[in-house]
Amino acid sequence: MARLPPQPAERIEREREISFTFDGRVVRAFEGDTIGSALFAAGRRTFSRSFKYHRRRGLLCCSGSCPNCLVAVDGAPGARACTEPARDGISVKHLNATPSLELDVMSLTDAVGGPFTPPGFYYRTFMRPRRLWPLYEWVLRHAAGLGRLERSRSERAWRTEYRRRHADVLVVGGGHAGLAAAIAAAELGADVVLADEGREPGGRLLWEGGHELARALAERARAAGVEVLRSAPALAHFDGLVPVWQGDTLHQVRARLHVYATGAIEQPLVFERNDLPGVMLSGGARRLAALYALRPGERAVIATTCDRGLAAALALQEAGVEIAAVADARGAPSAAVAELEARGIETLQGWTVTAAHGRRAVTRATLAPLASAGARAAEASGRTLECDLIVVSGGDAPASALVAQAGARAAYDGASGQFVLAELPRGVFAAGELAGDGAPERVAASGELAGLEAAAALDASLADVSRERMSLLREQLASAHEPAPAGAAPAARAHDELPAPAHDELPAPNGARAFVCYCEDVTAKDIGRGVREGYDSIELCKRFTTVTMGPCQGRMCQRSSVGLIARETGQELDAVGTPTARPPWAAVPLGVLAGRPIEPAKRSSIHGRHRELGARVQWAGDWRRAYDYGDPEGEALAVHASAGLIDVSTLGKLLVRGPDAGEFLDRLYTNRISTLKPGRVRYGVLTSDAGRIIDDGTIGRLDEATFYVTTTSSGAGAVEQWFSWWLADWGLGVHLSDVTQALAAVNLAGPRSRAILSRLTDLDCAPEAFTYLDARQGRVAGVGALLLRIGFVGELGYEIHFPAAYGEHVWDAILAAGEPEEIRPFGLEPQRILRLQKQHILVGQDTDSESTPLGAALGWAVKLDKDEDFIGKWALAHTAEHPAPSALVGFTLPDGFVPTEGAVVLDGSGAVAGQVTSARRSRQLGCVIGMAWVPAALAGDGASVTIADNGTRVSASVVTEPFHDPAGELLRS
Amino acid sequence: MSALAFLTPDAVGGAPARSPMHRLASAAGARARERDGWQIASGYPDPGVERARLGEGVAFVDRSSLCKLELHAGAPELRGVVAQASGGVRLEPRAAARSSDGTWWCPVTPSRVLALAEPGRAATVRAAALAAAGGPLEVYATVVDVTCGLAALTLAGPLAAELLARFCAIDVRPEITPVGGFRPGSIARTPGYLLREREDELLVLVGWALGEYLWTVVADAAERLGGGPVGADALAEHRERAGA
Repeated sequence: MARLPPQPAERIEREREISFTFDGRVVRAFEGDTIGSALFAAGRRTFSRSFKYHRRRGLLCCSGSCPNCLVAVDGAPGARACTEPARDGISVKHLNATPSLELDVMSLTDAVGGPFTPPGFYYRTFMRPRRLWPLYEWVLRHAAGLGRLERSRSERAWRTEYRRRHADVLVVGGGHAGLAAAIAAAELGADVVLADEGREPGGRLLWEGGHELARALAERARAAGVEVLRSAPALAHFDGLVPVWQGDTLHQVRARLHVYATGAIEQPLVFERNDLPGVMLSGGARRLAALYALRPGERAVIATTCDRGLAAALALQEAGVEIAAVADARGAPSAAVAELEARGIETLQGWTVTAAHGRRAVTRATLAPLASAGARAAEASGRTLECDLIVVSGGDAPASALVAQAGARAAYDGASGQFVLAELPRGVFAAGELAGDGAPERVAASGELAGLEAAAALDASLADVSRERMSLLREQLASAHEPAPAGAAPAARAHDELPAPAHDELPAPNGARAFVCYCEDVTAKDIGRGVREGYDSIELCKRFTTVTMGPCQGRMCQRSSVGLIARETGQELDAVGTPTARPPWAAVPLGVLAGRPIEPAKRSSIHGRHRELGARVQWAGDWRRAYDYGDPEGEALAVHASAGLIDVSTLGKLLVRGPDAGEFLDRLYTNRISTLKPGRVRYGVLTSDAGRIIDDGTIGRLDEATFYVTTTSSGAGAVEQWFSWWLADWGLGVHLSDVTQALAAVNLAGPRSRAILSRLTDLDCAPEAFTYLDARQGRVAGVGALLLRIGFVGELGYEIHFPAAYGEHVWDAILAAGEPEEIRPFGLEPQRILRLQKQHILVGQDTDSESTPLGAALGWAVKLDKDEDFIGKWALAHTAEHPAPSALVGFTLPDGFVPTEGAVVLDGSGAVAGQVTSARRSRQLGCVIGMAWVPAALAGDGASVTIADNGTRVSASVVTEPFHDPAGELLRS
Repeated sequence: MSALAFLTPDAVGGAPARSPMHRLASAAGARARERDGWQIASGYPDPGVERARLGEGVAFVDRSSLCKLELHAGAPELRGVVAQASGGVRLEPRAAARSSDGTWWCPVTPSRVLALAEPGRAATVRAAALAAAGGPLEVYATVVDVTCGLAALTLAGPLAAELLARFCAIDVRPEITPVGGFRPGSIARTPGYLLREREDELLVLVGWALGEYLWTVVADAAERLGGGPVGADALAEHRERAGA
């Protein structure tokens, strides 16, 4: 199609040609084109297939509001061709049609499936036979959806930036009102961000003859310091945070005040086959002509309920479109009609469109008087006109979703026939069409007033500066809002001379192809059926029919669906109300919300060495840890045979210091801590008020007032919070410092560990000088360290804690010193084997939220006789009087079968009576060992329990003592 | 020996202290130099690029070697301890104060202060803090060396705030966070601190074990802004040029 001669407001740069492909075919375009305008210029009229019936859909709104032109761009589905800029070299593909847009086999559902696929059919069918569900599911999953994501794609291709932006004022909507608001606030010194979903700010001005004003206002806004975000829809209003999506950036705008100038959305009319390509909103047709120099059709029929349609008739005629007739649904002619008649355009007053005709696109339109429209009488009294374009305008609906999310309340206004803003929350302002001030002579005043009010709310001194101007603007706006006389018919829209017909005066199409919702293929008939089935409120009907739930988020269908429900139920529109406005307001890829794929990961300062040593690294809580170095069983054996070294930097480490530190810990742990001597270490269990285990670890006393507490790796954060919470409550003289990340820690373990350590430290490591459960400070490989003679793995061992900056240095030094002893590094998995041999519990693995120390064989660590109260004491005392029904014990199995952790323990009757919490094969012991919760009656050495695991049943022997070195002689050696 | 001496990074015998980001800095081409007991990234292959990043774009500098001390005491005692240790600094909420030797005294809570000193001043500042805190236990104060508890990066250059905005929601507009503004908060989705050291310098601190992660996040965001890492020497030179 040839372009129109240069248009005053056109966006295209005719001297800069580009090209892209659509379904593999080259499409030529100009810089500034959208994909939609370029395809339209190339003669394409079908842009997509509808969601359910796979009907042809063409350009409708040309503003990114409707779902009719969804395409995939370079593999990313969901782009709207009508607003997506055409770029040189991109690959554009259609969605939801197989094999092609022109020949879509799924369009059979439109031809034959309609009667069988009413709303909610999927709730009632596919139930039987149940065995076929996988097949149904496969078919449905392949039939549903609007495009497919590529299975794999490089991270960079999907990369989204999050950008936090703080501002004084956020203006959402860059039309005339929004620009005026932003300028007013910024020129008074406010830090203003303006977010507009259009490619350039200006809104309707751009295609309704005000493009020069729009561009001048945008320039003035920038000069005033406004940050203008273009092609940037606001997605939601979350308690002051407004996410604004702009290409590959998600701006998280936190403004003190918000001005919403989101305008209004032109509504389509509901009539038979109103979705045929060639049916276009007046704004869409005008955008094509004004911005892209395209004639939207050769011969048009206009159907309108407001002056916007009449203005479109004049504009399109100027663009060379022959106007066959204008059907104005209003009862009396407005002033604009005279101009139409002067130009020879026939106007049918009190008429509307009742049907579009055509197979692939519009070829004819049927018009009928309003009184008979929708009835068969229309066929007799109506006229059918040849045309290839039906331009419709059903009036405007305020775009109030975002401001509603901000807390605004809307109410039905009989005078305007609209749901209008009745109440705005503090700090939120509305302007322009959204506030009912859409008329050209008022829109600027409305915006400026909102901007001044926002600035005044920021700073009282600014209120004085602008008081006079604000009064003037208020008067100006008030004079245009004279109330309608009582009993009058719905008043004219602010910028229309005449009232639009009320919702129940418009025809009530009941055909099977009169679409209310373009996204989900919901027809007027479907709404009626939903209401008759009892889904008679907008919220219920929405859920049943999915109307307003598609990609347009109700932009095209909310008003008509509310009107149809009101008609079906006989209610007033006010009683029907509007559905809750939920985010996102604009369709957005989930990848945009997900942000950059970088997970916060804690790494010990020795992590690099583990990688170099070939460690398999896995997540352990929020840490990346060495799971093993390729031979977990061999690594465990090395600890028994000679020595092993494991990085335990992930242990939680807390300093508890102060005159009340001992008392504080006594109140938290089940045993006595205050009696610990300086230089000694003790094991401790933390319980909740209910006496349940929440963590365990060691407590070392460094001096009279200083304790060094270690926690489990995964429990570190929770324990620190637990301590802080109780410290705040008790107000004891204690300072708490979390030094978990400040210190690296390694466990040097095995019979040769003393010899190795002795080569690296100035400390006397002799057994009598550095005994089991001693804490000493000294240097290891030149680095100041705290050494604890404790062990988790059942052999002589030392935990060495030192500043994290020396992690690799100390690790390397120990491995080098242990080379003669063939020391091996070992990972998390061998550590688990070794600790299981000692029946040391892992909190969270062997215990759950109901486990008490008494049940978990930790009764020895509970001192109910200590004078001080401690958290959980009362509950544990109670538990002690009522023995637990189950107990945590060790078990062995003949070598060969390792039960799954979580496998169940059966009692004599075959009922589930417990579960396996840990199980491993021990090469050291030559059998499979584990821990399990078993009935108390079976918790004795030698008892036999049955373990059932995925259909396998095995008999296990209970062992209550550690499997390895039960007397602990090796630890103490 | 102090009960908490093992927290202080003061190795003997030539063991260099290393930042948690040293491997990533090396991979990015950093030259490693030993200073004040630390192996630091002093520079990168192209000094011109470093200068351009600092002067016209955005850069980040590993400053994990900063000495960091946590001081705990009751609010009135803490004010006295800080005043004594710093030579007269007065603490105000939300604002760090700088003593004449360049040490920042940052109030985390009324009863907790974070002191940040250049590595070369570490021993002096630590000694002063310990001396000031060393009163009777009834009016006790605690000094904990958390130098190796916090990784630190300085974001520098005209786009420093823009870079920060890519991973942190703290408001650093000058009227909200002026020079000396100190903000505990979420940094790259982890708990941390932010200090505005100069108009175009933002120091961010997170847990040491998150150092690699922080570098990854910042490098990734900086790349989009045309930025990247620079060495300690380039930062020092930049400050000199700026007359700081």
